[in-house]
Amino acid sequence: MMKHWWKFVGAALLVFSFCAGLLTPLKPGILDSVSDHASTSEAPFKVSISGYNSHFTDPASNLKVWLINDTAKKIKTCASNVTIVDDAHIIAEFPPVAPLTDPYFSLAVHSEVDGLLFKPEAIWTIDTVKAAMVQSCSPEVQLKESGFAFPFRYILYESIRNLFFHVPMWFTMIALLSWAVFNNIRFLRGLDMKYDHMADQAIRVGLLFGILGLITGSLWARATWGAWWVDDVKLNGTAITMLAYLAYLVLRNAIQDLQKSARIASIYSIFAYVMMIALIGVLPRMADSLHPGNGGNPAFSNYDLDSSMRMVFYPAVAGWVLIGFWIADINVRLKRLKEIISSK
Amino acid sequence: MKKVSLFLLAVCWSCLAWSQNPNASGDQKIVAALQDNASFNVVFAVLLVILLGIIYYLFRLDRRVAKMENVHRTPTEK
Repeated sequence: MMKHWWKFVGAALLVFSFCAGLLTPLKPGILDSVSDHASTSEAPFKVSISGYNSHFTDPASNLKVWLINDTAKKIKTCASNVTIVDDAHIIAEFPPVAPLTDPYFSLAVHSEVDGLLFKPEAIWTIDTVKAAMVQSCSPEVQLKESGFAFPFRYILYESIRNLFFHVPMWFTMIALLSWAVFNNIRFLRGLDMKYDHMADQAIRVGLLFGILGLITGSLWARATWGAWWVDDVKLNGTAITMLAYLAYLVLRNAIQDLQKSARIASIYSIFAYVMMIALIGVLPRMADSLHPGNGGNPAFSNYDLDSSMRMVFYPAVAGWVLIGFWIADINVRLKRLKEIISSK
Repeated sequence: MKKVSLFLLAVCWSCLAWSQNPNASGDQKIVAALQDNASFNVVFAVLLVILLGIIYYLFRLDRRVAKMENVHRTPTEK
């Protein structure tokens, strides 16, 4: 029982990350904002604001709404009147205001219940004459920590939860393929078939996780970028890696002599692994890429992962890696059993 | 294999039926359906049952393999 502890840990981490990853709500945010006037400087105008997970009707919310123009100087225009429609909708009325620098206004809503909700470039004005100076209001708000919730990010929205499924797939694949290369080298040193079985099964299970990573990534791309697949260096690199490892399976099955097949496949696997590092880890960082973590696009920073997400993300990675190794371990033992039974 | 194929077919078929909601169209209907807490709870429960099923299957398979290993141990391992 004691030697199986890591399997229980893997299963527990997986169930935890699955439940916490899907059930934890997003922090409140501003989903949409629409102005009833194309011009902001001619007359008072109203902005209809749609909140997400917001509680605007809560009596304790004490709403304050303001627009921000010129994000460098943070020129603020406070709403003269706020009408609460329901928990997710308010209408804010603003006095006429001409843009100071750019035609975009960011929108901020502060609620004592939900905290500060912010939407960059929330409304746009057709006014071309820019104000020399705009009187700025200074709303007094106290920022407070919200409860355990995932960040509300534009474009990502609820799909941010896919981080707990998509990224651990790749971590598991890389861990398994690294284990495979380690065993390939051990096999080539002593030609012990035991290590070849371990490497072979690690590659097969790693390939499965790679395909799952591609599927979850494609679903995420559709939700955020609007396409199932884009011509991106990272995405193409992973596709080539998958094809290279599929070729490993073809190569392995093409040679009848088991020892010869194992030796050639081991050498091929080492080269495929090096190619994978270059395609997934190096080249995407040298080119522009939509994918986070590449081409100056940050990943694993405060921007992408806040502490609430890390609390689920790291257990998810550990859980999936352990499950991956468990599946590979069962496959190796099954293969060994088949050999023993067939040799009798 | 036949059972697995039939199960997957049944799951896909139910997804198609679910997507025929006439009150919404395109991606909106999925978003609207998931925002409804009751629907989301059902989706979550089904996914959790599948995950727990996979974990249970792995434990069961592991135990079976361990039993077979005990039966077919080579003389050097004994």
